[in-house]
Amino acid sequence: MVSVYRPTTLTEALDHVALGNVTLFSGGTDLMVQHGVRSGIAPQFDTDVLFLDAISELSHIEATQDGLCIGSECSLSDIESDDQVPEILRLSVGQIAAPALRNRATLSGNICNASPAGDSLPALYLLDARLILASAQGRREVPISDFITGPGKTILKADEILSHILLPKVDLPQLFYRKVGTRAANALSKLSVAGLAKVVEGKVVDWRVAFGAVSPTVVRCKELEQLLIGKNVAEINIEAMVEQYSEMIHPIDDQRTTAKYRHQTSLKLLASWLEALRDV
Amino acid sequence: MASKVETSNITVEFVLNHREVSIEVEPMQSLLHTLRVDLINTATKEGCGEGECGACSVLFNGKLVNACMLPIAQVQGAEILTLEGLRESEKGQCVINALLEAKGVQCGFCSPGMVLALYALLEANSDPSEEEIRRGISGNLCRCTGYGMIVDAARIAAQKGAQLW
Repeated sequence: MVSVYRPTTLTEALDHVALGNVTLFSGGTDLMVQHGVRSGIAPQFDTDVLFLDAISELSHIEATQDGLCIGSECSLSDIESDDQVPEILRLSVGQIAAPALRNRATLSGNICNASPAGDSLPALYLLDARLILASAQGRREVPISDFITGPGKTILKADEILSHILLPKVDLPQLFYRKVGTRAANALSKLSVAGLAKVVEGKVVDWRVAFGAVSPTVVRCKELEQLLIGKNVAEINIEAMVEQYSEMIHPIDDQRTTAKYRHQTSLKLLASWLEALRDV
Repeated sequence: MASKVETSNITVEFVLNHREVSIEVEPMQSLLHTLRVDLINTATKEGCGEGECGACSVLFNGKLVNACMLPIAQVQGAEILTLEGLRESEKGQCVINALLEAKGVQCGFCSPGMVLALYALLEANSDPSEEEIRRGISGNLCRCTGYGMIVDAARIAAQKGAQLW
């Protein structure tokens, strides 16, 4: 017999996960579909369900000394509408699905799903987001790039809950974000490209780019980014950069589009992000 | 086929259209199923059943949600507003009349969800731009109107109900 629990504190929730074999459930916008909700039929879960949405201590976005701390139960709408949140992340989550879905879906759910097409992920990689994984034994902090190991795969242990997302302070005023989908709303990404930069008097102080839905996990390469730092924007060899990134992007064919389209389009978007720097 | 796993029923108490409801249900069944089958409130429609079409839009603690994807266990203690409740209010009537005036109702299947989406939009933003209107209803599919008349309805509701929002 499957049971459901809806604790109101993190401590209670952690006591439940310590017993093992539960499905963590926040907004449920993916879980309900994955477990076969349809007309007249309740979705089928084969483990107990632990609802996290009533834990009010995880529903806040707070400025800290080092940046921003986002509770795991904040909805995508909460993030989209909070002006403390870096614009690149607000833009990305604002293009996920549609308002009613964003009112329930959470950022932590988008992370833990670890879909290659998770639209919040490129922005979180660019921002060097760190995740707090809590358990009854304590907590550990990991960078998002170590957390996601493959499509649908993370290092979250059976007795852990992703409790907070930490965004270090950054000073990166230039941004770029393009999501390519079949339509503007309610479409999963064919691919996405996100960029952040700081250019002062024609010199690149910082430059970053991340690609979504073109590889098993988000593609970001700090070594390649370093090549541009300190350069004059007029000296950037766009073709050479595109060629280097071309080697790093390994998309697949699927029902949404082809590998070739993903590869070509993401590189064209990279070129336009590099071109945009010249106008800063 | 996976074997069916039984879930024990739970009692869920919530406020539906300003009236308290207490019901014994399967905890993972959707709010939509509960409304339509257990409580016989059938204004809220089922379209896709997976969060894509918006026909089942209702307000959950004042926020627009898809009732098809909300397990009833999460509704414990919440306030739910559906078209049955909204149409009793002046604001609800304002949106409904605007949709009728703009001829934004054809087959009518999307209309209950559309009224809720327009209401949620105007509650948050009393004077939305066309882009804001289109964004506000972007999760509500209509296969009849082509949306132009629904966008007009939002403008009419914003103007005629200027003192309401």
